Amino acid sequence: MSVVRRLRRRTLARVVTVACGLAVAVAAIAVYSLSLGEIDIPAADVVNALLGLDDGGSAYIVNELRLPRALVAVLAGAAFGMSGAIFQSLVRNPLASPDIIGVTAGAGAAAVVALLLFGWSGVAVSAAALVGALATAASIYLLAWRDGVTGGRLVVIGIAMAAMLTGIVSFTMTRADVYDARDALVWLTGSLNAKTWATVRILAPALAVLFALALPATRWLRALRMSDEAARGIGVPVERARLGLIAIAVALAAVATAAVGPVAFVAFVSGPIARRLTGPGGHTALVPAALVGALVLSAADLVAQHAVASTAFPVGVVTAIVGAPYLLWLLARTGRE
Amino acid sequence: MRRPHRLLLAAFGATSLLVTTACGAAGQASDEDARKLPAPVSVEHRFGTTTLDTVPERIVTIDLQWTDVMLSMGVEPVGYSVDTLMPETGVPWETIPEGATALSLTDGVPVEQILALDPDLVVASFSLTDQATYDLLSARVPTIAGPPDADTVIPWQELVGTAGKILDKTEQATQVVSTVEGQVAATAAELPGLAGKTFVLAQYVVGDGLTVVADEQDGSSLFFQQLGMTLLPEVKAEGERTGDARIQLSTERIDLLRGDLLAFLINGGDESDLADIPGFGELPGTVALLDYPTIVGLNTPSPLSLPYSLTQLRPHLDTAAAA
Amino acid sequence: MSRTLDPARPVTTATSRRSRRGLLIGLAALFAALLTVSVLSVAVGAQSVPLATVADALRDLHSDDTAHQIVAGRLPRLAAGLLVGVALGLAGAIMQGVTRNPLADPGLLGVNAGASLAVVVAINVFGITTAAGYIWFGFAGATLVAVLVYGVASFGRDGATPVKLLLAGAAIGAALISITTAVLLTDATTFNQYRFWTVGSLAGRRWDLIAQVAPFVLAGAVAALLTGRLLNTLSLGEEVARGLGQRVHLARVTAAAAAVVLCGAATAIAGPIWFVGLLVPHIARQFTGPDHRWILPYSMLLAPVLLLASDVLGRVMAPPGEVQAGIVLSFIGAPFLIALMRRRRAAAA
Repeated sequence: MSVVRRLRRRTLARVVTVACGLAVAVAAIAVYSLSLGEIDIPAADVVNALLGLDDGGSAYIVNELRLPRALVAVLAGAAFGMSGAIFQSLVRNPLASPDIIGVTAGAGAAAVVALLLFGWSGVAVSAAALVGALATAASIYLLAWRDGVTGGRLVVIGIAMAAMLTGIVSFTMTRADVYDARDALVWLTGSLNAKTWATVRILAPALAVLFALALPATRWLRALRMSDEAARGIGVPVERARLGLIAIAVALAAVATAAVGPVAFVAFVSGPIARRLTGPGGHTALVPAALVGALVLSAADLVAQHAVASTAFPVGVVTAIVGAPYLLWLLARTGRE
Repeated sequence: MRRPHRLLLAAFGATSLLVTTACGAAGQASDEDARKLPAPVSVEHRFGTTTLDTVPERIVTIDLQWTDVMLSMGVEPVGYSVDTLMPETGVPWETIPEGATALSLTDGVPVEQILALDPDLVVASFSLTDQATYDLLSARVPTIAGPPDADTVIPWQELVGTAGKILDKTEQATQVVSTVEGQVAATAAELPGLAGKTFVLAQYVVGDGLTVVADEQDGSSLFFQQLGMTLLPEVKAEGERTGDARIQLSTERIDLLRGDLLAFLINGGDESDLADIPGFGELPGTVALLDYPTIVGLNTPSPLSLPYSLTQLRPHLDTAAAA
Repeated sequence: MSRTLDPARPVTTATSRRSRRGLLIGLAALFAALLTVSVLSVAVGAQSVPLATVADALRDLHSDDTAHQIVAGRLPRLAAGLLVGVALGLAGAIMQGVTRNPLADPGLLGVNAGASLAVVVAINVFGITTAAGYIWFGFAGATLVAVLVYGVASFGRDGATPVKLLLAGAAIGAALISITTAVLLTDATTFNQYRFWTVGSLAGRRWDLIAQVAPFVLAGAVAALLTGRLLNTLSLGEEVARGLGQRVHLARVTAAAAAVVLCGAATAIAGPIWFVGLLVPHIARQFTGPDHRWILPYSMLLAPVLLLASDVLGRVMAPPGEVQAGIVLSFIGAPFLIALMRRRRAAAA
């Protein structure tokens, strides 16, 4: 017993260390991104601007342009990362991501229809995307329900729904004006461009609530990761716990997607990276996964904005280019163990 | 024709964190020596009303139409958006001044890049549709966005008129409008045979289908109507039935292309792809195969694009008038 | 009713012998269905042509008459549908057999992502604008990426396990899609062509294109049909297969190679129609059970029936325009697959 406890304590210590390290890295990138851009602002002026000691042109650039953008990147990245980690533990499959329950497909189809058929923009598109994501996830779950939900059925029904929704997206894209279709492509790729405090003000409280709900549920997640029987054995209400966790994970991904678009790969890659950093005991460590997500999205945006002079790319273009090689390396390594 | 090199750089440069910092001068335009307008000018647009008191000197133009309008008024924009559908050599009817900065819209409107140019006016039409982007820009620079209804194309005459008022050059604006309108009117006068003839404007997306303009208010439709022609009644009826300004057409429905003049774009292919359309070779009217800029010049007309497109079309108009 | 979709279920000769007659009848029925949709795809279109004229046109394909030309234009489209359907049906069945995963789809090897990037490069970098020009890029892209995915997944001790294949395919696919998107965002001309290509359609496919790709489909189909027994052994699990003297790795590579050639050829003709490869083997297994010697021919006939039916439906559902076959297919196929999944017992996933 004491061995188990000691092991657990050691794992916990490592998770805490890793989380602190990641938090420092996220903060460093966020601060760095404040001083970087078309307009050169020295670090001292950035600090002055943040402290409100300067209200000139550079203060506007720092406080209204770069700071909200950096915050949205951290928040949305954390949401994607945590959502992915929950799904991967729940489905007991490293391949799982919120995509399997249709968040991306649902949000994408709703947003493209809103943008191209209804001519909406801004907050209205985000709202449509949120509704689309949640409605799709709910219908996939309901369709997969038959004396309970099995992972395999959920995945196949998710694929089928995604096929239909992708059909709607591609069809709408072929019927639209090419300039509008390009705007839709930017949305579908996922972008942090022109994110203002208005986005932060909606995103931050929504995610705060969801994080607060998710962290206590980690206990259930740890039990469910082993097997349903084991979980039941230690008194976890299996069906209720699973539904609750899925709901939280879907809501996290849906809110983040509504804010920045379906950024590829962050949800997928955060869990495996976090697990590698925290070691074998950290399978269900949601905080490191969330921080990895924040780190990946912030770093990817930095690259997307500044890698090519005078041409900024949507952040979603970069996340996979950054994430994929790492995942492949991971894959090659696990084979040897 | 396109720009592969920058693109590959973009794709692979992204993997190595190759950060470049662009230099730009921050700071405010000095208002002291700015020229006052005789009376404040207010422009209504999608996100409200923008009022100008002084003549802007550093203008950023988003979208082709506005760039053209400013150039036609003799104003050189400090920054302009690049239309990636146009040939890499540039828009054929435009000569962009050396010092102007090309703005890429790959991640939406680049707010910081625009502010770095220290402009005193930003004008845009259909590429500025996001409220947040407008808010960020308009907090620092007077910004004019597109029309309240996103689907309408503002008549170019109106854009030139607005520019005339903003720039305090109303007489020049009137002159630009009358010169270009005069060219169209002169063509109509020279070719009385066009009166009453029908036209169809269509494109073939190779491997997919046809798209046909069915709206008489479309910029290109108006152009042909000014020449005395009318939209093919069958196309107009089909548009009214489906309620679409542009109708989708199967390649088997060539009956809707039988106008006296067919202005046609092959999108993503060449003339050999016309073999996909049964009966295309037997069409009764004059077939004018046009390139992409010519069609855009008619769809979203500007005082610079219209004369260009008119020149490109002229031989076909001659044939159609004589038929 | 109680059949499972799990291809790993052992095959007993007793069940296959008992239902052999029934299975043959089913195959004949599928063939008849294929003939029917083939006739429909010549007779039905966006422009209605009287049946007598259709018959006339078939006797005189080179007439200047527009109605005759319309009918003549439907023939290569039919051929394209047959080839693409056969290829995707077989490729899907093989992939599900090789990976022993009912979720496998040729797309999982990154085939579509590879083909898409190659087509975009062809248009953007090489300025190729004709479909006949960029099919080879699509083909090469699909094949190269499949080999790459397989290679990456083979790293490590236990070779290309299904899970590693899926992970490698997803990772490489996502990276390629990113590069594709970066190209599309900077070059709207390419995007303007790509958005139509990526839907998956049979319209405007010409004889020269079909003649170029047909040999690959035929060769791939023959190879695929011969892998039935191989897939059955593989489905018993690696240990057993090895015990039966099967060279597991070689068998898997051979079958996967056939699938990649088929899938590359299909994508070259019609663009990425990925869903049919997942769906059709599922339906086929409902009738055949887990014996791949039957799953393969059933899938081969069923896929073109679905694809051609979708194409014909797409021609008449939104006059005067058409809806692309790929779109119609996902709207017919998805509810079908959902219903199929709901019928299954919870245990079978």
